[in-house]
Amino acid sequence: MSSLSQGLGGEYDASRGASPPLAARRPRRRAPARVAVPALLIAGAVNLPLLYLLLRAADSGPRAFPILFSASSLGLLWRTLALVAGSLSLALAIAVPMAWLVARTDLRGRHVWALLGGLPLVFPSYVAAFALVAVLGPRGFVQGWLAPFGVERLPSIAYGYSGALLAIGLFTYPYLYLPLVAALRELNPALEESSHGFGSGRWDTFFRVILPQLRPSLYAGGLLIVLYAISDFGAVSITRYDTLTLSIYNAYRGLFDRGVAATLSGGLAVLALVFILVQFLLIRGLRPVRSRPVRPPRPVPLGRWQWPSQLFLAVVTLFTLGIPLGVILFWGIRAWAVGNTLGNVGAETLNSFGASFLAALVSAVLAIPVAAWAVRYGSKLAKGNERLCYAGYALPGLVVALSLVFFATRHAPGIYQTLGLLVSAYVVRFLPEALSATRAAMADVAPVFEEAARSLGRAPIVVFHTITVPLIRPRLLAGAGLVFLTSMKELPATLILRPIGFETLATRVWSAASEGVYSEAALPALLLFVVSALPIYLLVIRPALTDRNRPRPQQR
Amino acid sequence: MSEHDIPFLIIEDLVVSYGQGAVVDRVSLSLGEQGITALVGPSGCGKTALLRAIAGFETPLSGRIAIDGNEVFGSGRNVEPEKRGVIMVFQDGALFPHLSVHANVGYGVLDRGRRERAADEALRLVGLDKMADRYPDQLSGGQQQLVALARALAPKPRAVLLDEPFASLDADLRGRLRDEVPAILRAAEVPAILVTHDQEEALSVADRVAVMFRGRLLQIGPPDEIYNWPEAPEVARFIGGGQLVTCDVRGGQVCSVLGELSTQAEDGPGRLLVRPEDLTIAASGAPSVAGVVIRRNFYGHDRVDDVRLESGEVLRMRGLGNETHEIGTTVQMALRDKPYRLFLDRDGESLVHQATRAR
Repeated sequence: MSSLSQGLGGEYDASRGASPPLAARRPRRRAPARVAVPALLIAGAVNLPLLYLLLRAADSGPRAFPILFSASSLGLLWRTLALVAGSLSLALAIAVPMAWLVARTDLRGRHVWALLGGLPLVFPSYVAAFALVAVLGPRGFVQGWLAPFGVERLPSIAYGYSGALLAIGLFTYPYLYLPLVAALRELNPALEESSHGFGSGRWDTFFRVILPQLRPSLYAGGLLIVLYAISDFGAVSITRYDTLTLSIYNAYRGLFDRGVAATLSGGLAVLALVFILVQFLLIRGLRPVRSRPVRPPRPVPLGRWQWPSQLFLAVVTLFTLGIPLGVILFWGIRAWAVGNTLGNVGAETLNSFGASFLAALVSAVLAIPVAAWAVRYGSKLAKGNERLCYAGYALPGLVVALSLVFFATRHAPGIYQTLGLLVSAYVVRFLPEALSATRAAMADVAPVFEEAARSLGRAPIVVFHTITVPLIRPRLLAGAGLVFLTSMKELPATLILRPIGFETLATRVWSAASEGVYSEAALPALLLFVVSALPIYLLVIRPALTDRNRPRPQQR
Repeated sequence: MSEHDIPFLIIEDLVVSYGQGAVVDRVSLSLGEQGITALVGPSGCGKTALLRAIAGFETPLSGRIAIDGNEVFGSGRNVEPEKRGVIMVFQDGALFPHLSVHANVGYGVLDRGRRERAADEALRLVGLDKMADRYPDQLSGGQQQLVALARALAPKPRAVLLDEPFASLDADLRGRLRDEVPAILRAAEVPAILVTHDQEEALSVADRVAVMFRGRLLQIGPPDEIYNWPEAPEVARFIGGGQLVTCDVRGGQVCSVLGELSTQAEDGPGRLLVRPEDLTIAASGAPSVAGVVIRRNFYGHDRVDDVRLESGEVLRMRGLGNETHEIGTTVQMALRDKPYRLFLDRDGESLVHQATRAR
């Protein structure tokens, strides 16, 4: 995950501090066209619709200004930024103490807590919002329990700003938490001990020695949460908090003037780029910390803070795992009791799996030439080309979807509302997940293996199939798996681009939850959870929590 | 053998550059014989770049490379590495971790029908036929190198190129492989070019030594010739720890702190190549130079003393291990009676001459 955000905005590269290996200093043969040309075409294709959107927004130049700077647009911007600030603060307030507790203290059960802390990633924002609304809504569970005491309505904390804030902040903090745990484990305890030796107190040491070393992880995870908050559609639509994304969607659905939707999308894209630029500037000045711990740090004894810490983690887990799972199971069982079985979402399941599988397959294939060019030939052009492929990941899904709509309706009406266009949107959005996995795998396969194979008389294409692919296969599959999962959960692009009558698990959860038909939302949400829990643990949480200092077992 | 009529490798005026400056600077070379050629020089001298250019992994700026009479680089041609007929063995073997030893060795044999047998034969040649079913991570470092060599020999290449094949092994193993690898290459009758920064390795393993310095190929020849009659001061210094003693040539006499030698060279300033073993304790009454022992290195079978002369110059003297000199004692040194290499400095160039002890 941290490598993803590196691709997004950061020049920050952990390997920068070390002296480059000999092979890196050597100029290589120039990249052959069979690698460079496909890589250029892929980056171009991924960016074509976005370019088109920007051109169109610029085209309507004079008309765009009154829309962008109208009182209502500025109000939307303000509400969006308020959501960003609130979500980020909430996520920080959870992630920093939680990461420190599981990584550096004698917290009881810290291995279980470490795992539970990452799991909220399993729930997409619309499931989170659905669960919150079902429990804390004016007529939710809690009101039901309080009814005997004469409570007719709860204050509407599940709706509006507070609802959206909880649905995003509570469920995105793992983006900060996971890299923080990894960073805390890699910090050299000797640095802290020498700080204590100088007579600094524990708090002082935390702020002056530990925190500065965590900055790369904080910025990287923070950017992911910020981008998540400005691009979220599922939570804000269910909690009815009007942000830029929600208005863009409504403007587009309203069909009066698609120009308004296009202009606001352009504005939203620019907002995303501003945050990426800020993170880039913040991270650029950082020196990577190269001092690796020579021994595991001694856990800090919590003493009388042991039970308050347990309580803190229990409360967080209640909200982030207990409530959504409870709601899904409760309504799922109810639905089942009245005869609604999983068979009722058979078509949705098939659609979700099919479209996501195609997206994963295409992404894995497209990632290879882009990664190969950047890693093996390393020219500035190749690296810039690779970075360009991250554009779709940085931009809100809604913006990507609308740009594809505008592009297709104008230039390729035949593909509008086809499965192909939907899969294209997934690929534009999630190719970077496959790309960062593939690039990391390729960087780990020393070029000497490929050189040895060619020297033995094998043509490049044979070398690729017999040497490179077997060596990168595990992580290539992991990257494809990640694309599959995120595509399954994707909502806004699916809503806009799906063929008529094409329902996925995500669209079913969303529409049922929006209409308050919880029993219909529960089954597809349960399916999403069941399908994604184990892979997310295997692909995201476990790699992030695994101690990177331990030598990896040899590949066979 | 008739194939010796065409040199298997011809390099003409080859230049390899990594941006600024030439890493390989106008190197010309022709290898016609069987056997092992060691490419030796200090690190950064361009020897690995030259090897990689021959293998096809480096694109030279200019020049020409021909393997077996076929041009593989030059006049607009740059043949792909897989079509050059030479096979490179990399520093740590580069065995494919996902393939068994047998599959590794068979990888380069393109003819499927012959693959099994060729792999078996090559493994037998290196004495590792019992390891065929193992995986690379189950082998020791030395075994991995031998498998890499077998893998390179199995397709019967025109030559193998070895890039520092012993560098990552510990001293004990390195010694063993230095004996085994040349024997295997000779048994397979495949010529080899071996890159090393270790001059001792080059002298002991190779039939021919090529010395590179700052991108230039300074000298190529049999090991004893390189050692005894270096053609450039850099070769003299790099190979065998040669010391260059400044001297003056006047009327057929070479005058230095070590006394006088006679020569055919013209008058002028020069440098005399004196190896540690050229110096000996003077017999009493013979002409000698006095110096104080300032450092001792004892190796058992021999010892090397650093001796400071009155002039301030420090010279190394090698002797048998049983003669010892305490630090601080004064010794009388003399040159052994043998011909010496003399470099005359003329306009920045070094002219090569001989000098012998004056009678």
